Amino acid sequence: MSRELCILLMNIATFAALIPCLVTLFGIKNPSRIPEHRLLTILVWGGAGIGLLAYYMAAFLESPNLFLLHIYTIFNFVMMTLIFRSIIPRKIMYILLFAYCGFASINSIWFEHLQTLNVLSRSISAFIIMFYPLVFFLKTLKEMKARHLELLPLFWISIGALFYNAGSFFIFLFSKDISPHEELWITYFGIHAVFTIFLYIFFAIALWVRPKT
Amino acid sequence: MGKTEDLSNLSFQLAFGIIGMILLATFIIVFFVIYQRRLLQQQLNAQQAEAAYQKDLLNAGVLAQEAERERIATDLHDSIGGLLSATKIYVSNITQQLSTPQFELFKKKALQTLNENIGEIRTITNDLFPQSLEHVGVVAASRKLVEKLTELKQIQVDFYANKEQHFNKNREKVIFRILQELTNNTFKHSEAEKVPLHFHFESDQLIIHYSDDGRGFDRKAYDEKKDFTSFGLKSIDSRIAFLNGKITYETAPKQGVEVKMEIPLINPSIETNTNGKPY
Repeated sequence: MSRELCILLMNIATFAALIPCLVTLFGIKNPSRIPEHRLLTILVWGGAGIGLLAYYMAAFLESPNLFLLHIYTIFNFVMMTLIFRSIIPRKIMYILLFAYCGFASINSIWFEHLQTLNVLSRSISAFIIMFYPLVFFLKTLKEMKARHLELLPLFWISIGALFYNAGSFFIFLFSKDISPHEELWITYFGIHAVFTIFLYIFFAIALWVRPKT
Repeated sequence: MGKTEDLSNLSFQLAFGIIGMILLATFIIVFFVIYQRRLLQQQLNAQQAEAAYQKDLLNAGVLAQEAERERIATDLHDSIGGLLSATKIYVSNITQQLSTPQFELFKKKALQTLNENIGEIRTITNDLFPQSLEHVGVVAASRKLVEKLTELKQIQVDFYANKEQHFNKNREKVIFRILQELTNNTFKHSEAEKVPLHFHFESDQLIIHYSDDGRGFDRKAYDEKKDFTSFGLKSIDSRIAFLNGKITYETAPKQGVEVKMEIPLINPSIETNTNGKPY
């Protein structure tokens, strides 16, 4: 991929977060009562806000914005865990939340400082979140209650989460190794931008669909 | 040179990892969707089959009831009706003008037909509700039932029961009806020479083995019949469903029939034979 294309993709990815945000605006008059919708709305608005702030800081203030990634990583993990709470045993959910938030905070304060990439936190977060869709698929197959998968928000969230985290896992894991090589860095974060765009498209579909009652 | 090679290796490993993970994710999602659709289809098919089976059982129940009414009507018309008509004729012939021998003859004939009437009524009521079932229980009543096969067709009967055990009366009646249907089939269609009937009471269930060495039948072809002209086995199935039991048939043309029933016992009150021996 050319450098220009990659940069364009990264810019598009930043604004792609606005697609699901726009979908949530359609539901303002008739807000969804589905917990996954409400939590996903918080996630996409939060993600879009942090993304736009990071873009503004980098493009207009030219100030360091990596600390936002540390905040976003924890925020994203908490929201994804809460979105999948219906399929995770409560006890395990609390353990995951406390353990991960504790670990990521300690990591950001003492190890991978706020102005560096939080490789470990992002990789672990991607690795754990990858399992949520798998548990959802397994539970759906076991229960066989869902007649119209395409109308389940959690189905689209699962597809997005699985693709994004599976595709990005190695990029996060190797991001420290590739950061000194600018061309490689831009190429792989261009690829990451593609996954991000897809993730937001799947989130938009998840916010659009309403399961039959 | 070394740095470029390292970079190329890193790039290759990264690309390999990303492609691998994406392929894996795609495979998982495609597998999940296809498998879910297939399971859903299977579930739907099973539900449809169950609904069709329930409808069959319902039809069999209704048709069995109609057939039973028809049989009772025929029995009443052919035997009781005819005998009562004959009695009426004899009684109406009795007048004051008759000579003593003629009077005695008509009186004798009228009493004879009345006795026959009583006998017929006893037979019909016994068919409808065997008194032995009320007094001695399902084992003894069933024994009498199969012994009729010996009386009427010289079929050798091998009867065994580990004990007599009374349980819910309605369930006893339903079991008796099932055995009545089986013995009827043997009597009418099987051309059997030997009929074993074994009762085995366990702590929580009754196991009944019934078989004959007659003509047997093609169970699959029977199940596929949709016209309900022969609903005997379906009525047995509906009775077994009522009992919450299980029934299995082993049969093939010219190979006899083996029937095994497993019926759960509800509130059993055990009664052993008076001499402590099995029936």
